[in-house]
Amino acid sequence: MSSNKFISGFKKHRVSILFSAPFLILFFVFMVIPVAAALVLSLTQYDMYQAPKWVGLDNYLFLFLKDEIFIKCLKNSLVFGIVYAPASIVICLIGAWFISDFGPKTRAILTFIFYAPTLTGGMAAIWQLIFSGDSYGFLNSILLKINVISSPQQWLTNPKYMWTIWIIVSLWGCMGTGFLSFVAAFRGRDVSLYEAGAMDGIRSRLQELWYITLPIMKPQLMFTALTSISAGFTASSVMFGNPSTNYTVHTLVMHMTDYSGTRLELGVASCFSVVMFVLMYGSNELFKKFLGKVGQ
Amino acid sequence: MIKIKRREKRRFKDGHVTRSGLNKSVTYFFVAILCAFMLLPGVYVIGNSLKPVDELFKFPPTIVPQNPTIQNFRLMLNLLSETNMSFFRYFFNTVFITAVVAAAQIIMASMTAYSLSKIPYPGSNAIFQVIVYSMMINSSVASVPTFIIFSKLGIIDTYWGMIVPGLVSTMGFYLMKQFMETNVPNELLEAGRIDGAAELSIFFKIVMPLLKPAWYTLIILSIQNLWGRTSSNAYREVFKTLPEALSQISTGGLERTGVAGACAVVMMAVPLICFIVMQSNMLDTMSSSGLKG
Repeated sequence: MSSNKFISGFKKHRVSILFSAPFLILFFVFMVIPVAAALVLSLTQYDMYQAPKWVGLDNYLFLFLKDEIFIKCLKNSLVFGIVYAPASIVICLIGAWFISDFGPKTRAILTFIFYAPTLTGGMAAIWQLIFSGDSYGFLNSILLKINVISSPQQWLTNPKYMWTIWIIVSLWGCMGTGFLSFVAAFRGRDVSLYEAGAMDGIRSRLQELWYITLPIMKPQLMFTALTSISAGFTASSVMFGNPSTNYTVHTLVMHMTDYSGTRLELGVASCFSVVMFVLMYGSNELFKKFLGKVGQ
Repeated sequence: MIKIKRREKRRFKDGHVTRSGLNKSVTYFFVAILCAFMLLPGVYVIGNSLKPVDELFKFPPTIVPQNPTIQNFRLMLNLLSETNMSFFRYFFNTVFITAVVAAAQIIMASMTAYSLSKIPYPGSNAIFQVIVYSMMINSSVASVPTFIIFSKLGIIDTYWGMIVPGLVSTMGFYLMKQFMETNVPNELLEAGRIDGAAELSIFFKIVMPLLKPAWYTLIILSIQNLWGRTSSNAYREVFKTLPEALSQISTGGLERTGVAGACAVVMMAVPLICFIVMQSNMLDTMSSSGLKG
């Protein structure tokens, strides 16, 4: 009976199901299975040559109790995500807000300039030249010239500077699709709402942002959050060397590669996937809660 | 009452405060700083690519080259021709992979989007929710099992290994679906159905042409993805792309600084030019990108 129903249901929606089949099959094989497999593999010992051996929670216990570098990476990725994700959402929003005041031509040029770093994603390497540690490095030579520093600074290997530089360079490339989404939303928004808001007694720009702009932008905020939260927790920092001095900016993804690539401990490496997934899912749910409060 | 009116006037008529309630000079100031910061690496590297060797290591450094030369670009072409494979193979690989990925993505994403949003079946909404959630999963999260699957399928070190990851672009699918919801009116489809057209011909004759802005967006996203990627599932030289070859010849120590600049300029130029050409289409697509919480 129920299988009959299933078959007749399939017949009825045959065209539609066939339309979506190619993408959904690929999605299942290269997205759903890997994520599920990571969850299972994280409970095993596996090196690709021998069959996986069940070890229960041993991998997790090892990482959390014995591997000091893992704890450091977890802390780094967590802190980075907590700083990067909100900052990049705010920068995307403010960038688009600024741009919305200009005429169409200027707006197009500014959109292009702001989006350019994302478009040329591989170009983050240029920052290595700028922060290069010898006196030919761009920043060093300028600071030496104007006598701010007396000797070249090791921007990329001195733990004192690494975090600041890491965040600055990452935020440089944060205006991606989320930013475009805001630009498009500002372009199509209803300006009369602001006039109505002024009549309703909205006094400061901050109030205007909170009561009018942000509520309109909720769907775009959610979209940007989705991408920037995952970018934050899966960031790597290869420009500081791998590993960086004292593992100062070593991240989860980089340490995962240590296990999967160098040591071929795929079970342990899979634990990283699970940890990152939990971080991303949790943060997204948190952000949803926050969005519910916006404009109230 | 009078007070409100005056306030309104100040806001919208005299131009001191702009429509969105920002002070104009503050806006200009911040936009100028942001622009400078965004452009700095690009301008610096373009300058480098045009400098002769002696100028590259001058102190203090210059941004604008005093004696611009195209020597670095010539050297880059020489180095590319000295690699074990001809320049054209890299070029072919790049164009081939981009074209296949973009074309397949456009067709698959739009067919799936059409089926999920215009002719839904039981469970299609749940499927969409799963895909949206998966957008937060960065490819690095599932990298270990993905590598295992790739090696079991035997597609590491083949064109498939380069193409397949690009095909499962959930972002591309998502943008396509949102765009379709707002830009393909149901009435149009109904009219087609009443005329007795088959779904396939409705899709190709009516739906696809309306999706053009979204096509261009997917093309830009796949170009951006490919040109920003300097390593991949290809380990044999014959499958490598131009960006990978360029990144190889630009890592040659100090003496390659100028060549590295030239390579970087070539790698920047392609996605940037594509974006300039297709920008308005991309913004049209992004205007329906919002996600309900």
